Amino acid sequence: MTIIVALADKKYTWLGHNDAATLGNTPMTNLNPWVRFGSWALGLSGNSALQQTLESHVSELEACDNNPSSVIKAMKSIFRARRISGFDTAKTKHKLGIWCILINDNGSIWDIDQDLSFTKIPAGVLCAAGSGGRYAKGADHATIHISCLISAKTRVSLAVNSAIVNDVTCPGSAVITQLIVKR
Amino acid sequence: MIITAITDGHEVWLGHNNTVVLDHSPISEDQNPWIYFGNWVLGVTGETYVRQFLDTNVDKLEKEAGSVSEVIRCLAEILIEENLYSEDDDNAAPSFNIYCILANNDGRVFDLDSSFSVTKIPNGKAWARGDGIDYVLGADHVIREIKPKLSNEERLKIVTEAAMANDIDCPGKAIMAKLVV
Repeated sequence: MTIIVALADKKYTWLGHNDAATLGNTPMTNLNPWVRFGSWALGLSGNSALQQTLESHVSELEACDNNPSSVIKAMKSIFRARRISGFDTAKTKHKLGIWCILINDNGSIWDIDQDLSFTKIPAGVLCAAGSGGRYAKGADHATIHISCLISAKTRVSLAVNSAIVNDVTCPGSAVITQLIVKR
Repeated sequence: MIITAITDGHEVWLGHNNTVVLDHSPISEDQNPWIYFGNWVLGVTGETYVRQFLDTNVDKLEKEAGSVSEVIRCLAEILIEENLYSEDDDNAAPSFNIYCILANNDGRVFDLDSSFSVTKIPNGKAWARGDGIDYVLGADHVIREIKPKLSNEERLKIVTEAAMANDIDCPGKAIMAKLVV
């Protein structure tokens, strides 16, 4: 598993992740969990095969409009067409084994769970997913408590590093990138 | 419920949230997970009936618990005698279905897993057991990084509140206490 984190300020949405995944107990480096398409960035943790599936069919995601439900609909369509995790069955709930963060370039952030239910994250609240998610959220609680003036970039960096330090399944180094927020 | 502890090698601080949950409903405010005996204190999370049973056997612990290995042996004997354990298979160590923090008034802090495997917690590291442990360890990393001179009492309060803010199974108030036996 991995740690992915997102937090927006007025100018940027800051994205954080660890740059390695575990294959068995072995760290594999140069991981990038973010898939970019249109006005969106989608961070994936969990089953990496599904990230590869989405990347292979990113043209279908490019067509999504600015509504998060259109992204979810496109993801379901891609998985259903490839008969992934029972999406070709009549089940109403599917456990995909992925936990995602969806970010629009207007600074809005959604948490997506493994049945693709999505929840908008309030402004100023750090969103974290993956095996190190709880370490990251605990870290952010302490960060805010100690210094309310700390930047969003630093909050993301501390959260990702806390997961890396505490969770052996989050190896590698912290990588922090930015998306420009378009209002 | 979350229990937390930190030591500087001399002085031990203990923390917990004061409310337990039944399913996800908060009940019984003013719960105290710490059992005092001799020079020791044992914080218990997990099966509440096991904790209650240990409460009723505190005299035995008082009498027989000197060293850490004697505490473990005594705890195991009390629970095995009453069949308060489970075994997944013949080769597995018995599980007592509780997760504990054990501290001595000389400044030592130990983690006890459900099989009573013991690990000494290094001085200056906050430790936790129960729901919300990951939030505690995540918060403690940040404090070490950006405010390392914070007092252990204040540090333990922040990390305990990190679990309470993020985990619905850790409701109530954060209670801090210095170990005095």
